[in-house]
Amino acid sequence: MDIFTTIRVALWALLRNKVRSFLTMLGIIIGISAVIAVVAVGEGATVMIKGQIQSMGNNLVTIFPGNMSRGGVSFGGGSRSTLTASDGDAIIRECSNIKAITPVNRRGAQVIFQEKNSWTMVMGVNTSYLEIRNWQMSSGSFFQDSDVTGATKVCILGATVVEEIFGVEDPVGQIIRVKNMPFRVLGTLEKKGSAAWGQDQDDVIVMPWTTVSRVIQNSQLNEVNQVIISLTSMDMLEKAKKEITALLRERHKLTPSAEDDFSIMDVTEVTKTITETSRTMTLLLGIIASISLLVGGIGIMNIMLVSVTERTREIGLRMAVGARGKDILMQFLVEATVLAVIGGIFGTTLGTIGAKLIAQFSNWPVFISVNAVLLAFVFSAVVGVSFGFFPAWRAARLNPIEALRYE
Amino acid sequence: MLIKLDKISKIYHVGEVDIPAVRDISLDINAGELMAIMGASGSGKTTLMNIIGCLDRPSKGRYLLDGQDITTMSKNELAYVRNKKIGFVFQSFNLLSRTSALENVELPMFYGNNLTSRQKRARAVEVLERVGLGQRMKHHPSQLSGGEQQRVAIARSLVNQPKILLADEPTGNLDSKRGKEIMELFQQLNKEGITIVLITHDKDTAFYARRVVHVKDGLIVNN
Ligand SMILES: Nc1ncnc2c1ncn2[C@@H]1O[C@H](COP(=O)(O)OP(=O)(O)OP(=O)(O)O)[C@@H](O)[C@H]1O
Ligand SMILES: [Mg+2]
Repeated sequence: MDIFTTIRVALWALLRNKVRSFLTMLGIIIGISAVIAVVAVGEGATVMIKGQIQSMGNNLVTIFPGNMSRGGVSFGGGSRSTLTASDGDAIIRECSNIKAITPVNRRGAQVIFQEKNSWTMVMGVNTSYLEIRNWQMSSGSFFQDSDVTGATKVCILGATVVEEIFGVEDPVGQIIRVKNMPFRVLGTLEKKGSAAWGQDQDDVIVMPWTTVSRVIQNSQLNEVNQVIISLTSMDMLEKAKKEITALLRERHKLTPSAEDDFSIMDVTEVTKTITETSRTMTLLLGIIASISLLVGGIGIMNIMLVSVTERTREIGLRMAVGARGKDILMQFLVEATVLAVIGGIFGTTLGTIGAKLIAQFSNWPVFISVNAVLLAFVFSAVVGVSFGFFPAWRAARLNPIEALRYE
Repeated sequence: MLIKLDKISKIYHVGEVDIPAVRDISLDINAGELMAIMGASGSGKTTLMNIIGCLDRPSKGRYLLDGQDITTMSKNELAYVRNKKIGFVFQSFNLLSRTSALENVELPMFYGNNLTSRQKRARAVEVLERVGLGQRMKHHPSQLSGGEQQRVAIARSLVNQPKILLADEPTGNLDSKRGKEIMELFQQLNKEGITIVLITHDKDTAFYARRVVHVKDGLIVNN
């Protein structure tokens, strides 16, 4: 019996018991649609997170003072920071593949305009900041190199700050107070949205790093909290990291046995961590979905066993007219597989619709990948074959005489 | 010699009890014969037919079909022989329910050949017309009378052009008029060269046979 005839016979057998076939499929349908929906939500989250990481900037590498692997991170605070703005200058002067670099001095501060005030993050940077962060101005202009040298009291406002203390009023040219000192607003930034870890990237005011040091922190030192570097290409990451490490160790006069007194973080690491986390989540949910598929498979096995018993005489007859054990085995195996695969098709459809609904009602991004759909098919076929095998084997082993006599 | 049974026995074991359904039967059947096996209920007729039809293997003895030793064949080889050489008409027609007459007749062609579905259909139509059911091909068994169901079963047994046709009580469930029709059909088929062995306990049916074998308690009583 060729495979097309076998499939046709299987379909015909399943259609003879429509309700029962459907109920049997239900297990698979629920399992597969759960898998599809779960994976779609999981992958949607991954895609969203990757997009957010992209929004952080181009080919970013960040240097922090202190050794992160030892847990000794110092963000300014009491202990002396080992990273300085001149380290940054040296890196761009001596290392290759560096597109732009900015020191960062961060500090929380109260900003006031007229009666309104807001607690926000003050970012002290240089003029490369916008390029590095891949950020655009919304209105006005950014500060100049002369503002960095002169530590002038100017600032640029993030979209959230504008909203909170200006509302609809145009902030450009206005004077706001930061730590009770007057600052001129030069411009405003485009809205960037929240970062991968949920922090609002627009709740920020940007000013020259020297202003943060000299004016806000009232310090004459060149220490900074971070140095952010934009590489010409991510392919150069490892090489650049090596060069930077060598240069900084030399500048900080570390002996060969001493540990680094700085840490280099790059986006790939962040991306990896986040993708891994979301993959673990997907995996966990996938296991739960697989269990429901397993239950569906057992349902198939059960019904196929019933079906084999019911159709004992049919099996005997087929054997009498020339079916070999192999033919009978194939027939029932194909029947179970067809059952599972049709369930898989329904399940995929339902899962896709479900994922779309989730997307619509929860604003959660979903992404239905071709891989997941293919996998669902393969999986349902595997469930069909593996759970159909035992009943089919039982059928194939029947003795034709006894099968024909069966009442 | 088409069929040669040599001291064939079949013993069923039910729990501790041995039931000898067929005992030491030796029987030769020539190609082209129309033969009847008669005997009381439980005398072992169906068991004998199952052995002749290669559905069942004897517990003892040797069986040569067409010169081939059936007793040493594997299950798959037996299936092949059944498919190619033997047509069964069972005591209870054994048609697939909720399946049209045409599809029932096509069944033996699913196995062991590579006819296209069109060729299969054409052959099935041909044999159904042959048994006079050309108008009822789309009907399911439940929509057919007993005689018509029997003719579907006969059409199915003929569709692979067997050498031997084995019929177990082919007229048992029919009135005498329908029974006569069936027997005339068998006679016609036999004239065309098919060897026919039929089981019956009805003298009128046995009348059509050129040779009658009587079975009693698993033994042949006269030949
Ligand atoms: N599978 C089996 N297991 C046990 N005993 C069996 C089996 N098949 C047949 N028998 C026994 O073998 C004997 C012969 O049975 P068989 O079916 O050949 O009779 P028969 O001549 O065809 O009878 P009938 O005219 O009623 O069809 C009976 O006593 C029956 O009970
Ligand atoms: Mg019988």
